[in-house]
Amino acid sequence: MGTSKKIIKIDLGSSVPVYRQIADQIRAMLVAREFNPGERLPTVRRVAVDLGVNHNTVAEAYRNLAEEGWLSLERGRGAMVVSRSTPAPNPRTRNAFSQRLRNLIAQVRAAGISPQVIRSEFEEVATALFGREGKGSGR
Amino acid sequence: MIWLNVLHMNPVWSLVVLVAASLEYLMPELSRPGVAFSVTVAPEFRCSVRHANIVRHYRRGILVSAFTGLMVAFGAAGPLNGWAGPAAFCAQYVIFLLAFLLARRVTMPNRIAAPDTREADLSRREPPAVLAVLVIAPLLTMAAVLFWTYSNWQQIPDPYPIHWGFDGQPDLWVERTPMHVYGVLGLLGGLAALLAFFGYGFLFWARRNVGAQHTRYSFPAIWIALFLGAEYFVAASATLPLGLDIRPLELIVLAILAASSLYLIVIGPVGGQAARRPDDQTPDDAWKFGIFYFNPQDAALFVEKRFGLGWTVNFGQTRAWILIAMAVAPLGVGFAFVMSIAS
Repeated sequence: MGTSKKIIKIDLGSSVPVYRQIADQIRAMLVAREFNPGERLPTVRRVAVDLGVNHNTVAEAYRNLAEEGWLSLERGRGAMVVSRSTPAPNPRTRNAFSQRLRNLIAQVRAAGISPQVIRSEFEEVATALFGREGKGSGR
Repeated sequence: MIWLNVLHMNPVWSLVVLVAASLEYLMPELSRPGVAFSVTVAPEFRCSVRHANIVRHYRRGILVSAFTGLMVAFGAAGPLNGWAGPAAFCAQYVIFLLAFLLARRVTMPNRIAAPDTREADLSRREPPAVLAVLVIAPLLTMAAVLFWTYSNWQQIPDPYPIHWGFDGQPDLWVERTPMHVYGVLGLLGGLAALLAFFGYGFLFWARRNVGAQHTRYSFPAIWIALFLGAEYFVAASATLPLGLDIRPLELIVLAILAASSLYLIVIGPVGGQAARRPDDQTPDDAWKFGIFYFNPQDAALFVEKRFGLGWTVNFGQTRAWILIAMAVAPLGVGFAFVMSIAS
């Protein structure tokens, strides 16, 4: 995994702010352990240059991830992935997650995507993120 | 300092005019499929009769530009003294610009929205820091030459050689005065700084392509080699009056330039790589007149040209203006110096 391409894609026309798109995708990679603790992410300047966005946009995404405990930001040395202890589950977080998921499913159903496709996408994402553990666990 | 002679060599300028016009003639085919005259278009448009007509008219303009340039170079525009060559180059370029802008204007109605998606590969690392040292090393050499010149003024040859023939022997001298000696060093230093600026910029401030199909497309790497080779050559030239023989370095630099040029022609855009180039991740509106890239929201200092070979500066960045001024100012002083000697 360490040598495979780790490509992030952003959509400047999306209603989701660019810094959140970047943070969301890097977070997904971190959850999937595509980056190991101690590994360095590319510098803010490098990511901004490659994406064609402002430095501040990428810096904001990195700051968000640092606040969540995923990254350690060192001035002049870039962002380093840190080992993060999973916080204790919180009923409010779980409810918010459930609500967001329902909203998302309603949106894609309204856009015409079939339940079968949604189900297979869920399974694919869960497998990618958690492997076998993702099926039938997590309750 | 070949340019002292070259300034008056109209055959050389005529060749420059012809090479420039030839490249401009081929340029519509070298652009990416989704771009025509710096405008984002549907790939099918490039195969349409409409596009073929626009290209035909553009190419007529290029032929006129080449003809005009050659006429000016060979004195058809009246006595220009030593300036017929540069005037020929300018005349050709102005007519090319007009042809390009006209073609761009008639292409505009076929414009489509540029993609809003952008990609970056987080697994790719920065180039090794040693490359930055390679870029800066010639400037340090020049600083050392400057220091040596200052502290060993009496050992500087008088008259002071400022031009060498192909046999490696000096063939033009000037009186040893601070203005002449430091003027030459200033000119070479400015040129080396400009080349170093571009070399460093291509390495660290330029956008990189994403995707497996572009792994062979090392256009920036080749440009870096070209600029580094030229920078080392310029820095080595500064040591010539001190009696150092730089001919081995000249051979190496020539080999780099020849290999890079061959690569650009055979494998680069001319070799069909243009069709595989990804979207350049730049919005259409940021391309002023289709040539100047002005986007303060883009952190890249260099972006690939939409019409032409190589890269261009993002004029939307303050540091671009600061660095350009820093590099160009000594060049202006040096040019004035050369003019004063030439006259």
